[in-house]
Amino acid sequence: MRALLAALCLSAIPVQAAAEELRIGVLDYAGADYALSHWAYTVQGLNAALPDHHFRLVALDMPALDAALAEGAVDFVITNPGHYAQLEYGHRISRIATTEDDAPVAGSLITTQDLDSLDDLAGKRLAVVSTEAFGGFRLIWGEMMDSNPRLPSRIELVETGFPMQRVADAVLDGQADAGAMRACMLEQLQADHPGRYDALRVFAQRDSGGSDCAVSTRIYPGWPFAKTEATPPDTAKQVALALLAMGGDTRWTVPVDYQPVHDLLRRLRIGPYARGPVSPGDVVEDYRDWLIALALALLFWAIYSVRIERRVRQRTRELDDSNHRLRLEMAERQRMEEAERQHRREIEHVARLSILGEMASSIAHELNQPLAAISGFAQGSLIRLQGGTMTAPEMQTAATRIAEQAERAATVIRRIRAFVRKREVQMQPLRPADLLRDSQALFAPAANRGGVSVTIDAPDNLPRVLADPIQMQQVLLNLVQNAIDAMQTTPPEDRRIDITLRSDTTPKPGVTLRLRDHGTGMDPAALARFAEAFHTTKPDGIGLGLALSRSIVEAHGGTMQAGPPATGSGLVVTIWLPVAGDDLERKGADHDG
Amino acid sequence: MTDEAVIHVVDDDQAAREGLAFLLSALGLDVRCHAGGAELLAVLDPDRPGCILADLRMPGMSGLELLDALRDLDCPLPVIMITGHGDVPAAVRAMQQGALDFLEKPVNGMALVNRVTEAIAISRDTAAARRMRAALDDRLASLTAREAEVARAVLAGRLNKQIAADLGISQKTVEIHRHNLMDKMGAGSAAELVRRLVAAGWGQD
Repeated sequence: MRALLAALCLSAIPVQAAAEELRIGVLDYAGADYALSHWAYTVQGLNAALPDHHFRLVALDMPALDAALAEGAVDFVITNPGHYAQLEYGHRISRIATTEDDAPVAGSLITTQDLDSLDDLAGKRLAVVSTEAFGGFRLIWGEMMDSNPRLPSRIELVETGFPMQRVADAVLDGQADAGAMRACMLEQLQADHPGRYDALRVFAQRDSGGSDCAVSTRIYPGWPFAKTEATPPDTAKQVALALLAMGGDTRWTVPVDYQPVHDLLRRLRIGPYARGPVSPGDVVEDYRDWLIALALALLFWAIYSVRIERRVRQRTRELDDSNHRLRLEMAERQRMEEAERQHRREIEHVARLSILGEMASSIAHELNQPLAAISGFAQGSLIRLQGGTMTAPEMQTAATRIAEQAERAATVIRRIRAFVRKREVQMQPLRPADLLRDSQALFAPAANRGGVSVTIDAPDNLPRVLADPIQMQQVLLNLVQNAIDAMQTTPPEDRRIDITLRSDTTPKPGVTLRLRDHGTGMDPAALARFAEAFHTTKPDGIGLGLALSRSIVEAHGGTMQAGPPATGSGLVVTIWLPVAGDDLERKGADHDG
Repeated sequence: MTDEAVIHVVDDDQAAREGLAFLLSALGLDVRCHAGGAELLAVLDPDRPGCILADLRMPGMSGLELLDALRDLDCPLPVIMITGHGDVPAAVRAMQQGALDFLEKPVNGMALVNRVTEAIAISRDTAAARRMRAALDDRLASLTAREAEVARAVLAGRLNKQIAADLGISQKTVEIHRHNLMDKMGAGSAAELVRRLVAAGWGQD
């Protein structure tokens, strides 16, 4: 950030200001020492030519150079042509001079084996200093792509790392069949180390453009000296002039065209061309008409297929949606129908089971009027008799009225009986335990409300009985309800109903159900009238529940009795039903409520 | 205007109302049967003591509606509701609307007789009070404006001398007004005069 500010200041401050530092970022590919010493002469020349400025070399590798440019930490850049082409694109640096070296910028392939052409490398191991190296790798790679695009995929690369001498060593040591190096590198090694590298030779040679070095690639422009975007134009101009005026080891000439470098990068799809050609101008030039025709055709086809595809997808989606909706609706409807059926079944069931309850209010209502009349005439008669004021006509009136109102009440009872018989009786062989389980679901809520626990002892292996399930459930529900009512005053811990099912052979094969409560029980007088119609021990009972229950049991060919328990308080109701047999089916069909 | 109590039995069920009538007439009471509330209202004499026995559930005018109608008529007769099975909530509402009591069908004879007797007693008291009040109102209506002024002054405890000064008339004239006033009100003494005036609702203003 400080560097960036400095750079900004530089751009604003006039040239005649005091000696200011100008930093030259130089690509360091073979170690900082080499880079610094190699370009030292250039820096000295610049410092001499521009006394107002102080030039300083900063050796950086590629990522560091990239970062320095991004931060504005350098004012000038010296790098290889390939890297320059990338930076030119990435950081808008521009060359103001190009090196004019003895060593051409090119690549050379070295080997000790019998290799002649690029194609001979297929299936071989190629030593390279780095896949990032321009002269040491990318130039060679570009030639391979040109000659045979499938070739690179058939070559095994062996990266040795810097310095480049390692590539030559790798080939000599047999770690690779061939190596790629910058042009003139081999000649230099052979000069520096006599004997060591003599076995190596350059193959796939090409025209070296008048150089003494053997090359395996075309020759590219030399290293550029570039200014950054922030470098003041005047300073850049002065620097360029100073460079061109220099002599010695490193000579600088006017900036050359770096198009071949860009072409190479484009072919290799690297740097700015990593995602295909940025400007396919030349391609377009060559095949313009074809391309236009093709593009139009493609465009048409694309639009057409997109449209078709979209319509198909839309239709498919609509179809899917409607299918999904249909499926949902069907499922929903099925669910609703099932729920409806279930609901109807329940209602029917409850309706049948609450017959007694319904009858209670209707009976009460229907019987109240005749009873009120009877009671009035009877009591009026009594008062008159006691007072000795009863006249014969009055007596006749009272008796007549009492008789007709009694008949009216009897008619009500008959109607109720008919009502009870209305449902078709359906006798079927049932397992007693199942019958009890089904009933349990019905009486459980009432038992819970009354704080009563029901224990059931029902073996599964009992013989079947022939019964109408609905009617038998009515009976059980009625008995349990009576038991619950009888235990209203019982201490909560004793509110228990014990139901047992046992097989029984007397008077003939059958099943006995015993239901025992721990309630108030019945005195002998009440027991004597157990299950008699219109006899009740409940304050608001009508005395029909047990009577109906008994008539149902008897219609099933069974018996229902009540008695005191062997120990403790309460009541035991015993129901006996015969085992299912052919002789019982007729009986069940024509019983009369 | 006879003083004999009459019992009105209102029930849509003929046998039921006849049974009740048979029971009540055994007590030597005058019983009238009505098939519904409207029939009762058509023939009701509110000044005659007695009571009304009405079934809570009737087609047409229900027992509760009958109670409302009687209240609108300012009928002083006590009402006993007869209810069927499970109508206790409605019966309680009837009590809140001014029914004297309710009995459940089939009615226990003794309970009914007791309640009816009680109701008739209440009714007689009410009727007597109403008659007295009506007579008082007649007497008060016969007073002249001057006599009424004198009556108010007497009620306020003023002496004849003070009344004369208040009204700007002679004490002699006050005495004459006062004598006429006592005659018209049927009061033998000043104390009785004051009692009757208070009974008529005077002295509260």
